Amino acid sequence: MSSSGGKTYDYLFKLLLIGDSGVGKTCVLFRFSEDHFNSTFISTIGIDFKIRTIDMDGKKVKLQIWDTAGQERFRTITTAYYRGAMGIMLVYDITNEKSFDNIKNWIRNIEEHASGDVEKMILGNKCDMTEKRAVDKARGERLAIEYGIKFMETSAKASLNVEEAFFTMARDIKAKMDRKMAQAPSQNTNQVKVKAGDKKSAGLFARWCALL
Amino acid sequence: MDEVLPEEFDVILIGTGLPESVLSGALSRIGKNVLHVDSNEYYGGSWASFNIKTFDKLMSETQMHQEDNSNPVNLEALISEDEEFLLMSASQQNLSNCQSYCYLSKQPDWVVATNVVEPNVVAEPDEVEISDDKDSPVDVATTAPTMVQKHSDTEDLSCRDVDFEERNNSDNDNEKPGVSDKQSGDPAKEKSTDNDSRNGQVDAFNNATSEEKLENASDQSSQADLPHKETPLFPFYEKFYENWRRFNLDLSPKVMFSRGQLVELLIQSNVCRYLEFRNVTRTLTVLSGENRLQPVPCSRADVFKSKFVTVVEKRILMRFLTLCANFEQHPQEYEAYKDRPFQDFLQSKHLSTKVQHFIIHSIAMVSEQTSTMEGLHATQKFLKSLGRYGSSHAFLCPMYGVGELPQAFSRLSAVFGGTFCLRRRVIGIVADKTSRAVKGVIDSTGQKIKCQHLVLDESHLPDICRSGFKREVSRAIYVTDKSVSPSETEEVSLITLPPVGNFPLYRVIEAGPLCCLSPNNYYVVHALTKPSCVDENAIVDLKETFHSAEKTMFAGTAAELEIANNNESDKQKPAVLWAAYFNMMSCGVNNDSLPGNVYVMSSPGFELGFDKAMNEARRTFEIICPDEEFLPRAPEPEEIVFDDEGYKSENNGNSRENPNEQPEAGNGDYMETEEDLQEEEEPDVQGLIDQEQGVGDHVSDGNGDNA
Repeated sequence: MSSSGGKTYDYLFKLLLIGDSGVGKTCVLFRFSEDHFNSTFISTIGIDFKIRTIDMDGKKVKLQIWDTAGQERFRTITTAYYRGAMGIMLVYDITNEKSFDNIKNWIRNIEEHASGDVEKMILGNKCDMTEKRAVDKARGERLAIEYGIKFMETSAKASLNVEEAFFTMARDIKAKMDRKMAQAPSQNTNQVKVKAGDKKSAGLFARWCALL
Repeated sequence: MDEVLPEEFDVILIGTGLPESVLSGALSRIGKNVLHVDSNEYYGGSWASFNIKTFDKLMSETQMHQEDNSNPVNLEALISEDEEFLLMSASQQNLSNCQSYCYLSKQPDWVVATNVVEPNVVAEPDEVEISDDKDSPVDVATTAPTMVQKHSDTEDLSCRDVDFEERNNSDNDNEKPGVSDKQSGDPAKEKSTDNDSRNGQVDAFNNATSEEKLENASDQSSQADLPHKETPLFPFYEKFYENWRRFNLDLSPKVMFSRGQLVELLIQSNVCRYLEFRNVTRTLTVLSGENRLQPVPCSRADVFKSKFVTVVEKRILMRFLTLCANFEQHPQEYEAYKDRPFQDFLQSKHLSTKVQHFIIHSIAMVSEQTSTMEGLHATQKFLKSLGRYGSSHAFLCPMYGVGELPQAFSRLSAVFGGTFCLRRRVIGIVADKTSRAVKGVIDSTGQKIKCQHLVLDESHLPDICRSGFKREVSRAIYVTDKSVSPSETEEVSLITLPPVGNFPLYRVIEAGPLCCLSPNNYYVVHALTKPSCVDENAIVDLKETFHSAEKTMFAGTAAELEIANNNESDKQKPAVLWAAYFNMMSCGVNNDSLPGNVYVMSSPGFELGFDKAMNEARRTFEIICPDEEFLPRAPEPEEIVFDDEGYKSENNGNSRENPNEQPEAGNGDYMETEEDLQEEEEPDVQGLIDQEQGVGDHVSDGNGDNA
């Protein structure tokens, strides 16, 4: 990682939210990024991703968390959505059995399109709605064990475990990354980032190299 | 498919190719209610990219008729008296004459059984054909493998091993543990197994299928102690396919002019945040009478450094390119040649044959017959793009393949409320009988969906609006074991192979792991040419069509090279490990029978860049929404502020300048602006010669771009 002007973080992780429509992905995202809950997001219009920078072991970790943009509705997530993702939150709704059953399909989708070493975690959302519960916590745990990944029940509405889930994932990715860096220091890649120019460099070589 | 779609939209788009996706994004962006469907299970239509397994499947399936297993739709119930129904074709034939081949040997069974990867075995170099094309003129007999028997010393073998292991480690994604892990077992035992297997193979070869033969090999694994055999030159079939996910193979490979419309649009709309790019790092060609790829000097820096042109040629070339960059200001220079061929004009400027070749084929990328004006415009377009993202680069290519582009615009559309539905076939269009305007569509589930406008890609045209199919582009894709022109760092190459004798012009793009098109140590070579015969029913041999390009670029197929061991002369050239051939189809539009509010988007075609598709999307947008802005900048997530009701407002443009004020308009490497002069000294001829003698990377760009 070379200089990038005003870089305000030490790590940048791209995370994805995935799961059936209506399980509360956008609410989880807003709870974590804005500490805000609103049950009336009809769909996810205009929301691409949200950013929150957290402190971890004295480092600034910038989490860029992407939402599905409603493309999960007819199972039409673009394969491009998975590019460069380092962590994926698989979300189901504990009051909706089908959304739980579909976690397996989503995992299959991830295995085909995401990077092989992507960090995964299962979230059973809406755990405040105990009276409507359709999926036992134990089933969620068993499924997670089956795939060897972590599991938590969350409630975006009651602000339960959302913070913990993202922190856990960030910590796991950071540990993995630190291990990798120790083995093979990162090589600076020459990706070209095309974007609206800042005036200073706009003369002859308007060019940016992506850092991550 | 059980989900029911909403009943009404402003615009329905069918097909998720690039122009449809750009349009979809633009319409959603300004608040139109958009439904975007595709009968395929993937995005991109003719613009898609696929992993290698999916590609093989695609090649074997396109000849088959799409099975329609949905219930027949009762049209009478859906169509009223004053409506007419235009049936869509059940199969969309945008590909034809598809074939794919893997030229690698299957790994012998016993290797898997004992969990030892032992590449020191010569297996049968069988060519695996994955094709369903009955017409494909592949003579199995002529390509049938023969037994290979080779000997070499052990050291050489161990070298091979290391090589394989490295390959293995570096491709750590998606690796299946176990199968490929070489055990550091007892060398003596390995040796004997090795030898035995060969014995078995020899015995079996005459009378058994390869599977039986391999069984024999393992049965006899405790037999005689024969001398060992040489390592195969190439990875096994299984090894190759282990990383199948990491291939991204384009149906329609293209590169983006750095100042082309697509790049401007990506910046303007902020869709660029979904994508990453690589520079095309070099341009290669073959001079007439030669059989060797040579770099084309494009930028001033290239011209300085080039060893292929003399000092005098450099001087003339430099002066000529500087003229082309601002040719409109010097009409006296070309006035007399306006209506004459570009080549005449080049000759009048005393450019040598070699330099003329570079300009026509690799810089302007036109033909000898092109008019001077067209040639000048094409040269200028190239020069404008030069230097924007790297001093000597004029083109970008999207990482993970061209298929990412339509997906990026689709995402924009979805983010702004567009509804996407793949695997949903529209069976026909409902139009008003009197006004002939489209009122809606009917999908294969029998749902009628209303719309004010309908956008289709060419392959989804109703039958009566078509006027015949033709072959538009002939394609070959190769996966090779090294670059067509190896260099110290990995390159992304644009190659023009000019027509020779009966063979046509080929346009070639080579890229590899750097662009995430292939796993490490493999390269993807895309070749395009115009079909020798556009008639869709004419018999073609695509292998023959690409024969000349293959001869220039490759040593041969892996299967051939395994047999013809000691071909020293071609050691530098790559071997083809996998190949696919197909024709991209295009169909004519019968405008008379097309309702007025239906817009047809063209197929990708032979064009190198994306301007045609962008123009089409923009024009259609302007018809549908005459007074609206085309793809205004989408806000960054940070700029969207939510108030307590969850309502969002775009807090636009407080942190960035208006992207419409592009401060970087129109200066390429040869464009003389003040900034230019500040950043890079004007190369006078004396300086040029000095630079050449002093060697030097004087145009180091400070960004490690060439590192």
